[in-house]
Amino acid sequence: MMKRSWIVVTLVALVMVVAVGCAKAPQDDINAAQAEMDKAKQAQAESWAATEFAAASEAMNAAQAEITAQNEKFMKNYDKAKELLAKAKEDAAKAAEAAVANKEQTKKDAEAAIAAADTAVQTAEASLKTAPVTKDSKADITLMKGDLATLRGSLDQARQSFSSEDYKKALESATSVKDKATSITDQVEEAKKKRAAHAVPKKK
Amino acid sequence: MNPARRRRAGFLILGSSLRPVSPVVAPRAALLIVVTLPPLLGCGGPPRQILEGAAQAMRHSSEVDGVTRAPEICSAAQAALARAEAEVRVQDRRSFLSRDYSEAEDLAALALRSAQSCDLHARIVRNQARSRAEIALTDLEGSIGRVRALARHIPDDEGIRSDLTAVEVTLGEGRGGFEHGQFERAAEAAGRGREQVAHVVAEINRFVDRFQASPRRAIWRRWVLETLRDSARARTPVILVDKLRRQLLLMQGPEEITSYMVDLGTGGIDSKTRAGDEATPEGRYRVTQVRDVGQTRYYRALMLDYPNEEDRLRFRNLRRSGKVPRGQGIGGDIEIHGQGGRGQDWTQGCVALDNDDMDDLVPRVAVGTQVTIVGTIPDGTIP
Repeated sequence: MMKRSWIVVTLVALVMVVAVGCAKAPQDDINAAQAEMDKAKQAQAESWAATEFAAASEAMNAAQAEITAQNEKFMKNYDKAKELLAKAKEDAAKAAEAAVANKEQTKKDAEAAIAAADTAVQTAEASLKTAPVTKDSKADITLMKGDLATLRGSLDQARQSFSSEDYKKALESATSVKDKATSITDQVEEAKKKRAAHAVPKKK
Repeated sequence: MNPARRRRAGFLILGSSLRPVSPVVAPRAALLIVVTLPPLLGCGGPPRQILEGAAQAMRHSSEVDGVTRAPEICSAAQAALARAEAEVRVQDRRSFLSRDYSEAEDLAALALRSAQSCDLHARIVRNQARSRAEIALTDLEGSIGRVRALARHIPDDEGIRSDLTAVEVTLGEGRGGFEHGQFERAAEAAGRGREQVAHVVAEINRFVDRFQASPRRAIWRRWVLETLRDSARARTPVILVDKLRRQLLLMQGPEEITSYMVDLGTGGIDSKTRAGDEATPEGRYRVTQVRDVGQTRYYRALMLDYPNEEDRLRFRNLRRSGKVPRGQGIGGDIEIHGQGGRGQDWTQGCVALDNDDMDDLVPRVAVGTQVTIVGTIPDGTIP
């Protein structure tokens, strides 16, 4: 009776040693986490959701380091690696989602900024057309026309940045163009008001 | 009670000793074991507060773009946090007796230190980037102002003004980035702006070099020397206008009495040849009339005797050679007047001064005062 008990205990111990010692790396978890990482990269999370992507990336690196460490042990335990992989997968999914949202938002902002800049340039052009040309104002008007032509060029560059998905650059350029065009309109309108208020006789 | 029965009754559970234990002591020993065993097994609670502190520090660091501004430190902090959280979850799933949070505590403490370090470094780097961007943008703004002042010496058809407007757009991009906390992008825009400014300055230098090497240089030199000689002989002040420098000099012989900045005609730096070219003429003239306040639209004015004989001769030659279209006049009404000081050329060929400068100049001159207008006064002409 006693002998049989010992045999049972030994067998159980052997099975446990084999089960734990021969544990395999969690390949399915690795694949699943890697797939999410790839999706995040595809969504350009590195630039559009840098913090979230770095969190996922570091969890993945830690998981790989843990797997390597466990691989070298006789008694392998991949519990922690699995947890890290789960975190990497979760963070990568979050990064992909944030990247898509951030990129889309910046795209919308850039689109709106380009439209606003276009309107501002058109408004300035229209304002210049109705500006009274005198000896005093002629030079200013000519220079402002030149400025507006340059702004049109800069706006085209903003559109090019937009087309090449450099939305941040497109947004900054378009906003700058809009501000400059608006300041031209303000100057012209101010000059018109001044002229209306202080009409002076024409020089002979 | 025999030893076997005692063992079965649970009187002896510790050690290999088979010493008898009193029935009163047994429950106390069991209680002691229940109280002391878990700590001995490392069964303290999970370090959730420390982990929350670390996570909070990481969130703070993300507000200042920690992973991009202090990538190595922040990556290490994220790795430490991930490992600590994973270890806690592993231990959470273990049975009460085998649970051990000691490694989780160590990892959480490391994660907290790393996260705080990440946040601190990111903020330091952010502040440094902010100062750099601020300095770069302010420098660029100053450069634009200085170059714009230089550029007014250059005709507009050289495209300098257009280039400067493009620099202003770049400056606006930088300012936009700065306002959104994108200091590195702002500094990068300022760098691009600096390159554009350098290009404009090179263009200006090329133009000035070309102008200084003009074949008319000898004529300008002769006119200036003759004017100064006349002034010294008659002991009367004379006016020299340097178109390139946009400067009017009041001279008494070789001595400069005073000088003023001027605005010129929109026709560029070339000499006037005909009516409507809106250029300021070059030549030796005299004041023919002094107009005071109320007698001119431009505050006060010194009328000049353009066109003189030399201008007429040149005009006839140009018309004969077909360079001036038929029916085109030589122009007139060239004067030195007020309402200038605009920092740009806007007249139809006149020389415009700030009103205060006109107030200063007019009492010092009279009808007959010589006015010599040149492209530029060659270096060394005035001793």
